[in-house]
Amino acid sequence: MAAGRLRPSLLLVTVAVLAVIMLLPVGYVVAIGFQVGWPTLAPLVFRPKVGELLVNTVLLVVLGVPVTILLGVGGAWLVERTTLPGRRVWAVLLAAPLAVPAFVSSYGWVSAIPSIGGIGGGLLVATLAYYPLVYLPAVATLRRLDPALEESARALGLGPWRVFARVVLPQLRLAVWGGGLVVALHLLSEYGAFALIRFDTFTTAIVVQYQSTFAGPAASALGIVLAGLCLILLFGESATRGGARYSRVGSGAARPAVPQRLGRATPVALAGLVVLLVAAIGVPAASLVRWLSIGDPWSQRELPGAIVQTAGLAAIGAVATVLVALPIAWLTVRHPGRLPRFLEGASSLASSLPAIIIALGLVTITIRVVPALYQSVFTVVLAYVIIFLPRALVSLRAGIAQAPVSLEEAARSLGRSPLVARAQVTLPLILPALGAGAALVGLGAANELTATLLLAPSGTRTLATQFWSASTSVAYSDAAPYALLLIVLSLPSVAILFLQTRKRVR
Amino acid sequence: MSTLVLTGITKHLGGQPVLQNVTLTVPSGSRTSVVGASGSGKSTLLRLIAGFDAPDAGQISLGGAVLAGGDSSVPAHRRGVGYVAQDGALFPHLTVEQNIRFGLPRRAQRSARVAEVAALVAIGSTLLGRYPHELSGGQQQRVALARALAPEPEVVLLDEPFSALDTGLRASTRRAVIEALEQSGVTTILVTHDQDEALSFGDQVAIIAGGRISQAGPPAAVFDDPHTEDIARFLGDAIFLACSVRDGGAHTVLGSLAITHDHSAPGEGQKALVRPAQFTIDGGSASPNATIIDVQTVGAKLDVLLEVRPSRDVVRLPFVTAVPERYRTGQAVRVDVVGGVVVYPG
Repeated sequence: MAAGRLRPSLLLVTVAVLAVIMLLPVGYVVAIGFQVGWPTLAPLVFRPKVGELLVNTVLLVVLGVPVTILLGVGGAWLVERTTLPGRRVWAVLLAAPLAVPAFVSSYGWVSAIPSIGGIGGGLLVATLAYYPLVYLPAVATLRRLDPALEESARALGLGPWRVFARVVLPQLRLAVWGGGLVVALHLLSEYGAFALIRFDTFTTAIVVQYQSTFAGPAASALGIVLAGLCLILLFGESATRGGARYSRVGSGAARPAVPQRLGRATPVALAGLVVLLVAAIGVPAASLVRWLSIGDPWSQRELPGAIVQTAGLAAIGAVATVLVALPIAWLTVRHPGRLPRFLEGASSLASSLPAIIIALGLVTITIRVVPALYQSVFTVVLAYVIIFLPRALVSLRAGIAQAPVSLEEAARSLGRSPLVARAQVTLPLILPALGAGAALVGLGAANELTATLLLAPSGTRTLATQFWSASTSVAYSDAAPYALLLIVLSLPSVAILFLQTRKRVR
Repeated sequence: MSTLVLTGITKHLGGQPVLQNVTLTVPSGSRTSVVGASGSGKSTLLRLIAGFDAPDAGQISLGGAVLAGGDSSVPAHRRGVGYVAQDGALFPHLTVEQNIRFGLPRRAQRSARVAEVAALVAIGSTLLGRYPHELSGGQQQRVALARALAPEPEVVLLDEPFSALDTGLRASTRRAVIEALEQSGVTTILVTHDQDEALSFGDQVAIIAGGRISQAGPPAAVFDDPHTEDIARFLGDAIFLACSVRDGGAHTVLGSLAITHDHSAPGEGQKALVRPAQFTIDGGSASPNATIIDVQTVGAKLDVLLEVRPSRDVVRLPFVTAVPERYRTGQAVRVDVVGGVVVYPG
């Protein structure tokens, strides 16, 4: 049908426009940098303060990523491939720190040990908060790794440690690189956790610059350097990943592996896990319990309003993100090709950059071009869409793939117009995916701190911003109820993520 | 009247010609099967009739009204053409009853039509409340047919509806479907890659290859007189004996055979089509004309290699059926051909 040809091109244009909008804020920051020119930027970039930030940020990544990899891979190996007692319980507990937002974990530490700070403090808080991002993909890979490979290596005369180093570790490379990259991007973009313990990175400095010069060129200059660092990481990762193939070559179902006997190392492994989890969950939890028991923090007047406003913003953000993700996911599933894939990649590129850059870009654009939208609900929702788009895309792509075109055709042959066929057949089938995508986005938006601080209309009180104003003014007890609610809000997404990695993929 | 007429249908997909100048008439109330190998364009043909896609050239008309042709195309939902997809395409979020009722107009939804078509395809009332994934493959296909028949379309299109079923289920489902179609009297087109299915389905069989209809006609006529050697091979096991046509007979190593149809040009170098069932082998004959060189038993059938006297030609007879006795290598036998042959250029 002629209309059948027309529709994808209309869709293509829509998706292209959406991709441009998603990239606009970041592009604007970069464009301003070019417009201001190198002579103006150079003195802003090459100052002792920036050098110090660069050293801090690079040290954080260079030291932090290996530590998270060590903790993540070690933990995954212990729970997946050894005779460690209580492996199932440890498997859940090791993923649990993901449910504690990094800035809440940082609050737990700084309110317990006020002197914490510097690169040591930053590393401690960040690695404890982010090692699960390596742990989960490592668990998923170990689960689908064919034990026959390890058995062959044993039969060739290698001891258990050499088998791990020469067979298992190389197989884990993709998961480790991917997880390491995500950790590095989080380390670069984290604001709250580092600001609370007064550890300066590019991101915290951008916020400081923004607050003092109000989106001046200095903040843009720092933003460009930060975006550059992130892009180097993104392209570096995709380059090293190359075309390596690590999937199982043989056919048939992989058997579960025979676990490695820990023997006398068991107490050491258990002690290590206990120390790790006390630091990652125990300390923040103890602080929380302590501050909740002091005074009557639940009776704060702002609390109910913050809950309502958080729910409202998160709901609008979730609906908007799903509406933006729908045409993109539809195009890539129903009309696959190079161009759709490129547009999808372009539209989710901005979300891998720090929220602070997206926020900075939106502030700059709104102030310079449409002042009416500065600090409006529209702008903060747009930021949520850009930041959380991939969550909705993943869910929707899977959902649309489960509603094949042949069902729509069947409905059309039974007298339904194309539009009605979609509404009566495809829509009910992708509804669960729409719901799941919206839920994941909403939960993420409810916990968002950086962009909300910069973009929300003045007077907006969300759980995250209320927590922030209380804990930065050392009203730790007032912050505690918000912290608890933020953890509760994180739990569902972490549970979904955890269950997905536990699925035994063929 | 709902006679379906396709005239000069041509369709390109991705720059490649998929259908070329296809012309076919399906008389009102009759059943036609379109048979071809995968990639022959047969599914595309159904999609054009259903209205999911439009032909580049040619015309499709139903009962005199043009469905597609020139620049106009009646959209799929206004064609009154039922469609049963390969996997049934039952709506997974609806029950069997809701699936069947889907195509009925609103005022007819409470009518007895659902029970009527369900009975037609032998779907019991206990199954009506189930969801598609709770049905067997054969039941799913029968529900898909019931759903397509419910709004009383003028034409029903079946796209390889039995290919996903295992052998035993295929035969019984096919019987049930043919019975239902016969009772409803709807004009039907079945697309299949299975020759036996095509030959046993209905009133007309059309053979499609390389996007063209190479032959169409009543199944018996097409099987008895394939117009080309390729069609003869496609329709079933075929043995070709070199022959020369003289005095109205085909002269082969097995003697002179009666010619039913001759597609060859006059002159030397022809071959005669013999179906395996036409051969008889007699081990106790007083006048043997061949010696068995090799014999292999394949279940109830025989694969026999013969040396025919006096020419010493070697003839292989694969899958000769109905074996009355066992044969051994070196045995002298009498081989004859029952019935006439079709002759092709050699």
